[in-house]
Amino acid sequence: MRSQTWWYAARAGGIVAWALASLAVITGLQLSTRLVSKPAPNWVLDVHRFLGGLTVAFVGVHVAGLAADQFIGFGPVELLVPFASSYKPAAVALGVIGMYLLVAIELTSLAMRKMPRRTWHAVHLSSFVLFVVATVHGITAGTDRHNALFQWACLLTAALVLMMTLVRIWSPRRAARSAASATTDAP
Amino acid sequence: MTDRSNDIDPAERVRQLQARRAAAGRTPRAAKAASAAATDSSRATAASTAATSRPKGKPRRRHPAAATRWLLGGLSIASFFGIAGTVAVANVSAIAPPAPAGAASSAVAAGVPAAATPVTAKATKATASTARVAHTTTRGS
Repeated sequence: MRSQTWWYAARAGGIVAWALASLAVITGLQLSTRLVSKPAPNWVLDVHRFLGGLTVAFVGVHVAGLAADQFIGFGPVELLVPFASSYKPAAVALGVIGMYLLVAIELTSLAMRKMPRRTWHAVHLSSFVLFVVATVHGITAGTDRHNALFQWACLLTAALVLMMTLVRIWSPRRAARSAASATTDAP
Repeated sequence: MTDRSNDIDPAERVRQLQARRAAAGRTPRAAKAASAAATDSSRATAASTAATSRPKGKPRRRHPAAATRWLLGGLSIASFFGIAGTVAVANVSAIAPPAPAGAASSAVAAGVPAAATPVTAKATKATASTARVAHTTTRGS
């Protein structure tokens, strides 16, 4: 195997993991906003879960590629401890934090039925933070950050996620639900 | 019609019910129990058969997103190899062809775009060797 193969695997794994995480966030927002009526919710939910699992797999490829690459010299400390890397400490730390967030979101989703829904939801909301952290990590630490295609993909995806998030915040369905819960909570 | 049930005391009612049951006979229940015992063994056999083989009537329903899962998985893997291949091809084309012996040292001295190079301790040490510099060049693309 050539010495640079692991480096290519790490780069490609990171980009694919970011794309899959973005798609998972978009399908999750579609579930909560029902912005598009056509795909059935059970279909979207299944795709959303599958995308989450695939994201974890490709983050694994990304981390394994970095660990196996001899040149960059990332050991367990650099890969697992934020700000331990000498190469762009802040940018790499964002990736490490994003990895922990992803693991937390995935584990709580797997144990969703065994834990309070409020706790699960609180952890699941951190997927917005994960999206931001992963995007900034890709833009600041990624070797392919100068690629125009990657830049456009980041821009368009971020715009779509932002738009769907705003729809979710201001959707009448959510407002009605929160009003109803306020009524029931009131003494 | 008058309801006499309220007139009779509970103990008497229980006695009457028992008597009626006895008169009706235990045959139906006994028969049921006997037939149940007889079918138990056949049921056990049927259950073991069902566990090993699926009922022939309906095939198991596929999840609506099963095809999409395959599609997404395939696309992800294809993208992974596509991106990795593109990066590799771009790097190979970025590496300059072997220069004449006289020009080799100047090519090394011209160096690599430093901004695109991971500045680790290992990398700093490695810049001393020509092979490492060539490796670093590929990181910049």
